[in-house]
Amino acid sequence: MTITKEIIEYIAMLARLQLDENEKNSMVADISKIISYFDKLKELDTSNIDAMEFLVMDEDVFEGALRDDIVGKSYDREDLLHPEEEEGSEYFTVPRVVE
Amino acid sequence: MKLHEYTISQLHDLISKREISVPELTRYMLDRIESLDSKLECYITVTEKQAMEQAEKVQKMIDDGTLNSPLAGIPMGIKDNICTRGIPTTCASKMLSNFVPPYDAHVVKKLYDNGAVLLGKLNMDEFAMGSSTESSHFKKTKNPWDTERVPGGSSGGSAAAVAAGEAIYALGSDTGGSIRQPASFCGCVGLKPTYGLVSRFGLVAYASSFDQIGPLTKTVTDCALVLNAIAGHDPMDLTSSRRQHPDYTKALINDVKGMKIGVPREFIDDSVQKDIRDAVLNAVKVFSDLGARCEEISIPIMEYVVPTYYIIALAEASFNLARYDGVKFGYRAANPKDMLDFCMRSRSEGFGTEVKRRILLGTYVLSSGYYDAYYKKALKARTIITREFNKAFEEYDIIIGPVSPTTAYRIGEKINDPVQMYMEDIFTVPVNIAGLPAISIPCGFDSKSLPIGLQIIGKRFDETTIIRAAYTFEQNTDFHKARPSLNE
Amino acid sequence: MIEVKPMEYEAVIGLEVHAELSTKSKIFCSCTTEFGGQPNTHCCPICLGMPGTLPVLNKKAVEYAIKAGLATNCTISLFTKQDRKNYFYPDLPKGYQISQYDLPLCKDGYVEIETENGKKKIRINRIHIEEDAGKLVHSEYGNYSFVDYNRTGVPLIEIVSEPDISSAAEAKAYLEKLKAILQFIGVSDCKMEEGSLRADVNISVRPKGSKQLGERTEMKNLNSFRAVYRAIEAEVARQIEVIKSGGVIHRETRRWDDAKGESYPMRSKEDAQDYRYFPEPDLPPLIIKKELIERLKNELPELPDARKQRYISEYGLPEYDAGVLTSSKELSDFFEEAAKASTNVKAVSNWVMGDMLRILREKNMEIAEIPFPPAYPAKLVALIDKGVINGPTAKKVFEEMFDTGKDPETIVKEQGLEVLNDESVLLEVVERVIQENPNSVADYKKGKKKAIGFLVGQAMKATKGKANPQLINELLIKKLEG
Repeated sequence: MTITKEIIEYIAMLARLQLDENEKNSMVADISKIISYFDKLKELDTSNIDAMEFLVMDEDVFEGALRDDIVGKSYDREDLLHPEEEEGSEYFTVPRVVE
Repeated sequence: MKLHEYTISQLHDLISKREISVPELTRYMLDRIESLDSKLECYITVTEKQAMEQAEKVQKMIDDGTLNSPLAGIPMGIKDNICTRGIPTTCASKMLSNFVPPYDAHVVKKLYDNGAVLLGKLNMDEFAMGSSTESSHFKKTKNPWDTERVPGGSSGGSAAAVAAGEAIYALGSDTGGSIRQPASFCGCVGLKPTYGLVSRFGLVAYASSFDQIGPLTKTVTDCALVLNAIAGHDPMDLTSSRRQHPDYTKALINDVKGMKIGVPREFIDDSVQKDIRDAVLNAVKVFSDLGARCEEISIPIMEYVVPTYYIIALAEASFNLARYDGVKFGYRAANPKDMLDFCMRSRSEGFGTEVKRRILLGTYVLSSGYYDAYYKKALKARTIITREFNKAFEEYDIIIGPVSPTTAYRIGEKINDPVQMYMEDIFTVPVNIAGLPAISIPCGFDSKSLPIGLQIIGKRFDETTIIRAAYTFEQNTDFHKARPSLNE
Repeated sequence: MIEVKPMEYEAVIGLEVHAELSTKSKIFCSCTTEFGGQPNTHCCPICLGMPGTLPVLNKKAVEYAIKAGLATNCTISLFTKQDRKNYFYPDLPKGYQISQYDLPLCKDGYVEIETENGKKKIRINRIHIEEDAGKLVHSEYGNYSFVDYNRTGVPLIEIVSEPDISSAAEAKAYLEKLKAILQFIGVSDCKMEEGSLRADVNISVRPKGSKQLGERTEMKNLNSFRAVYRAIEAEVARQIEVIKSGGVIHRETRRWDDAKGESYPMRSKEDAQDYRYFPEPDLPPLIIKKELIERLKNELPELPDARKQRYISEYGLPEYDAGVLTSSKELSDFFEEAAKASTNVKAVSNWVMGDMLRILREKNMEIAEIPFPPAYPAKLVALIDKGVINGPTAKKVFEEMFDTGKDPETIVKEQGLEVLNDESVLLEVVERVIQENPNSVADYKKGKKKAIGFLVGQAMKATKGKANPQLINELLIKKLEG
């Protein structure tokens, strides 16, 4: 699989990253190299192998770890708002979103 | 011996005997940072005022008899991706340069409960993505053994601070070797605990299924002391284990007789710098002479560990870093045209090149059309790798090898070759892939007198055995006693 | 030229229903799920996705979702996991939503609805748990929007139907049934006006009888049954129109403008959508034990369909009435209590279905806001049955009950509304009415028997409606004929 500039642009859009021309070119080069290194994995036979094994805990998560439905204290708003919000703001302010 | 050269246990003695007060010790350490850190650049934030207040408070509690922990009053530093309430936590990124968390990480709370005194927040690779601490947005930390060289990474600030005596101990985080590799580059002890032993709550996520917090210390004893304080279940982290952990100081036993040690031939092949190989083989001899049974083994899956690690880590990272869009916290781009522009420019201006590269890679391996070939495949490879290690552990108590194929390299030497840098993680990443514990301890010096680390890998939740092996090695060698000269 | 017969089309509709679960705390943190509140005051670092925070799953949310699955005949997965779904939107704090992808909690269920052609099964493909997003407020002036994260992290279930629905009416019936079930089992209050029940609708059309599906469009976040109904009607008509005029339907997401009664395609500039689902590493997969499923099954109350059958068999109610009375839990519970207090359940059901629902509509009231207990309508029926008050008076008393919350017996006593049965009193009234209405009397005597009605009316008026109309009638006839 060749990594083209178009692919990088598409992926960058998905990841919400804006790259200038220089960055794009160097990303094409670096990512091509890295992906072809990743391609080594294709040699490995993984038929009949479970993909989820690592994530399963050997402890009873449902009974032992999940949270009971108890309301706790929320945080003070001023401790949560973005530091650039104006004093007294009640919201997180963003550019107008057109729907 | 100067105060900063003491270990935790030695200082605990001095404090207990009232030979030094906590405020005196803290003042001494702050002065040392003040005089040395302009040269080494270990700290992003020094919390002088808080440290002194904490020191006074802790001293009072010691005097009252309400605090009796081996960590009480010991000044330490914390990697800057571990949240500290009211203290900037930047992840060494422009993105989080304005972020002051309104909460403490679980480990921070535990250390405070033990009377630890926080000196400041330590430099690292941006969002822990790197192995040289060169991708920090703020500064480049120098290796105390040779200031032309990198301290390793991503916990480079933590390792350098401990090695140079700018902190008595430090916390780091290890996703693919980020505690062990800098520990080996800087000649200190670094432990990556079993996945699930230490809560990740408050650790800014890089790759959630690999990340673990662990101690960087001067000695194995100190390592056990810090691990005792930070290990244990946290209901705020569903991946944290509920099993009872032992008292790790009980594992400080100078005896490896009958211990079965596997030495994978893949860990000591030609890709490893010769003096590192020699140091590891010498360690094998040390263990054998002490009565351990060392055997060469093979872990053929090793050639797949790096791609497996990077595919999964970067996939997770691409999601973990999706929250940085300028809306709730972190860097906000100025004068945005519209919401899309705001989001894209905040991210693009806030993240450095390596972070962007990794986000793009992670996005790529998860995108439709490539998902099965990369991400799903890597998950399955993870299963195979985990099984191979677990199988080796059916016969061996520990596996030993090098931490890194090289010793500390020159600043700037490898920064432009990402594939090369990724490949050098080969000996550390399988430990994270399989969720195992591993420690790095000093085991020699290369021809340039740079430290070499020995990696000891254990079974899941068997920190006890690796601490015992590491302690025995330490008690029978002198490598850990060497200190960088720093032209002081 | 070949003559083309006008083609008939049929609609193929699938619904994705989001219901907020009525847990007290959010799905991954302990912030309250209470509706309203000052902006961003039901928030914490976890629901804001702040760096380093981790989600801790609310056990009750899982239990509620399993109950929803059991009540809709689903199979409960014994192994389930959560996944991250990526999309960037300012109301989604982490840049991904924690949802479920390939191992949903419940799958392969169905609910039964009534249609013009009898009962119909609507199959449910899956039910999964996920977290709700926040809310955007747009400023009147200036180029800003404001984000309120109070709703962020409220637990949701998404109920995905198979495309078994063929009309707007069926879609509405399906939604009503789901709503009733979720309310009955107590897992969601389904308040559409608070956004706790929302539907996305997938619609395609195809020539009648065809087995192949047409291209579909999606309409998102319809938040009233009326909107769902109208949106489907309009979209089906639009698609048929497009196809008839030789056009093609494009797969797209459309926004329904309920005020204008039309939909339009949403901007697709950033539509290069690729959710990139992958297993949520912060939440280990869940093993659901059979004992848990058994326990939750035992906790399920009587479901609407069962209760409806019971109303028919036990109370002898007509099927339609039983259906209306079990269409919502609040209504059904109210009726149930009233019925228990009465020996004339049929009459009680008429009052509840008729006047009560009308008054609630007129006053824009909820059942929960009714100021009197369910036993009062039963008392009212008893007063009628005992002949203490008459029908028209009863209606007035019922209205009065809504205004004051008073016991019907008290109202009747206080206002002296008992039926006037005292013949001597009524006789006086009748005589006065005859005196005052010579014309009608004359009409009656000329053989216009209908004139009696007017005279009865006058007598009732004179007694403020309290007279026993039967008795008045008799007395009038006796006087006029006598």
